[in-house]
Amino acid sequence: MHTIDWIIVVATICAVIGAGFPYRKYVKSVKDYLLAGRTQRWPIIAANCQATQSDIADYMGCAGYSYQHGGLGLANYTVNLQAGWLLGAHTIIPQMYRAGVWTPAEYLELRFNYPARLWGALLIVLQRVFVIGAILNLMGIMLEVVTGTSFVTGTIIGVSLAIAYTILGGISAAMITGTAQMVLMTITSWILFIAGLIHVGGWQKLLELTGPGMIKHAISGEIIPVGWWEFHAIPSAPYLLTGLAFVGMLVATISYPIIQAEQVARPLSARSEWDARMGYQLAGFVAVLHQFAIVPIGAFAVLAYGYMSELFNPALGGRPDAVYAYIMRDWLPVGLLGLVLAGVFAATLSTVPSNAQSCAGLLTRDIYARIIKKDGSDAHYLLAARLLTAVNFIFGLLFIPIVQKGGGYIVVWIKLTGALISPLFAVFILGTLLKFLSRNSAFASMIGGGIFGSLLALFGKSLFPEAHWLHHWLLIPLWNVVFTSIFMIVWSLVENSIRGPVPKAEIEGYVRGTFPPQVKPYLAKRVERINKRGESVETDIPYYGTEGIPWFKQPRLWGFVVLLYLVVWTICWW
Amino acid sequence: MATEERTEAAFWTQQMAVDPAEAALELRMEITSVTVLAALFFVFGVCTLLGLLELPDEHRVFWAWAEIIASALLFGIMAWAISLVARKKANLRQMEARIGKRSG
Repeated sequence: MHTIDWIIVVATICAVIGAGFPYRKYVKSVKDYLLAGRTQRWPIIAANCQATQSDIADYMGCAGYSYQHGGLGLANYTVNLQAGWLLGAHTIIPQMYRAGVWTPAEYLELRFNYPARLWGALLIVLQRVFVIGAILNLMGIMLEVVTGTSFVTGTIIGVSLAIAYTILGGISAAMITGTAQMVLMTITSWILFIAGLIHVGGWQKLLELTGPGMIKHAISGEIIPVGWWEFHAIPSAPYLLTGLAFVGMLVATISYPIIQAEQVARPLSARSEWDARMGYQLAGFVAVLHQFAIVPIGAFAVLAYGYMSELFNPALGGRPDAVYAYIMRDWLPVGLLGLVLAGVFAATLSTVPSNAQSCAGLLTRDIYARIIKKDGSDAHYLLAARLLTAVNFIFGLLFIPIVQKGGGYIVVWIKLTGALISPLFAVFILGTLLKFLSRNSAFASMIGGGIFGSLLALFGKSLFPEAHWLHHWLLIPLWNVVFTSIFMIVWSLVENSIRGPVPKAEIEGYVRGTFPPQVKPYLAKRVERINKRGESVETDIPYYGTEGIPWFKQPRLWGFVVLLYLVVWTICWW
Repeated sequence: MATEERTEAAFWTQQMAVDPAEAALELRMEITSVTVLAALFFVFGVCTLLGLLELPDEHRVFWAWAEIIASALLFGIMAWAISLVARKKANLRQMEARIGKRSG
């Protein structure tokens, strides 16, 4: 690496870690952060949702994923995530906003019971700790490829910087990491994308060269019958029934905006339910700005290094997540290379410590303070949270070999989601939509779904070798959601027949279309004002529901627009 | 404004109220962050321009334009950060004046 690139990287690290130093004693807990006042307008919500979603994994992991599985990489960011935000905006978000909760786990306790909250919190922590390990893995790869250091040294540097950032109060400088990450990665991704097009000979040429029957497997020599730009089939598994991989990927990703605590916290800081819903359902459009330029990098790598070459083939010890790092090392000139690396550092430092801290907050609040030590002092819980932050770092590191052997960040994320976490998605959605679901049904079905998903992931292939539609890793989340939903409904019917249904008053506000008692007086006053005086304009007072909002501002209308975009986009790429 | 509306507005103002001293501290933190951000993007912009001296032989014109446009965008962000600092400093002065009045 050139001296100019090193200057950029060192300046970034110093700025990010040093900016929070004068204020380190004032650093607040993540709980305080989540409990920020309800003041945000919808464009800020949309941008914040996108900034929370976007991290280093969405650059390196996305390029590695599209290198292996083609169009699904594009579908993931332009359709699936957007569909998740849309679904959330019309189901869980209004109910959580009305209920006044701040985390998905809290909602589970109100709608179902404490065991559901406990298990839900553990699943959320598991997923976030995995993300910590996966990101440190990406950091190690990036440093190894770009600077020539060893992977272990690169990872140690990543962990040390993340710890220094946490201890020295860097989290209060989140604005620097957030802005640097988004700006640098977006600029350099588009430059890489245009450079790739120049190398290949233009967009049409790229489509042609990576079209059906044009690419050979680098090891087996087999011709890949599927192109890189189709949603209906994937190059890595062309034998799957048309469209099945797309549906599997959709179900795997759609759960992210529903269950991820930091993501859900964004609309819950809105000044009104309307802002929360609008911001959430329009968040996906922001992704197109930077993510569209990342996905083709996987296709450029197929042309530059060959499909599933030794370097990137997990079956041969290669790392698909290294695709982005190799392309930038081989293509980017001095200056721009340093900018990408600075963006990677900023992304890692903005994601890893906040994940470790939010998981520690969840574990302290939802488990330690509820079960283990109920009457501890604030200082005691703060110490517990700090120790748990360190534990989360260590557990995260344990995921690194799993990510490397399992096929890269996004593939392992889907495998983990499919086996254990997708039942949580089914519980949230059905819990919001169906009033008759019983108190114990959520906990029971999450356990049942976890066992089903794990068995399918571990033994599905050996028990049913020919049934690819059943045991392929992309489809396990789909079958697990179906299984959990059926399990939950059956369990509720049985439980209700024995104990009687949950009284309506107890779940009012937590199922779709209802308002909790504490909100009703404000809602009634607002409706009265609208009816009496015909006021339909926004006031400074946060409000609930959609009563009195003009038709062109109705969340349903904009939801329909987003849905239309998703359908048209999917048809275009199908 | 009807009494009920005033009560409702007061309720929400109370819900969203923040301690002025805490808000001032947050503003100071933001000013530091944005100042550092401006300085950082200045370094980025300069380094990217210096990259023009080390262009690869292949596609020289493209890379020259890429570095120029990238550095222009980076300096643009720097300018935005500087204007944000000025605005936040004005807010801080106002807030400190208000805190001073109250305590006085």
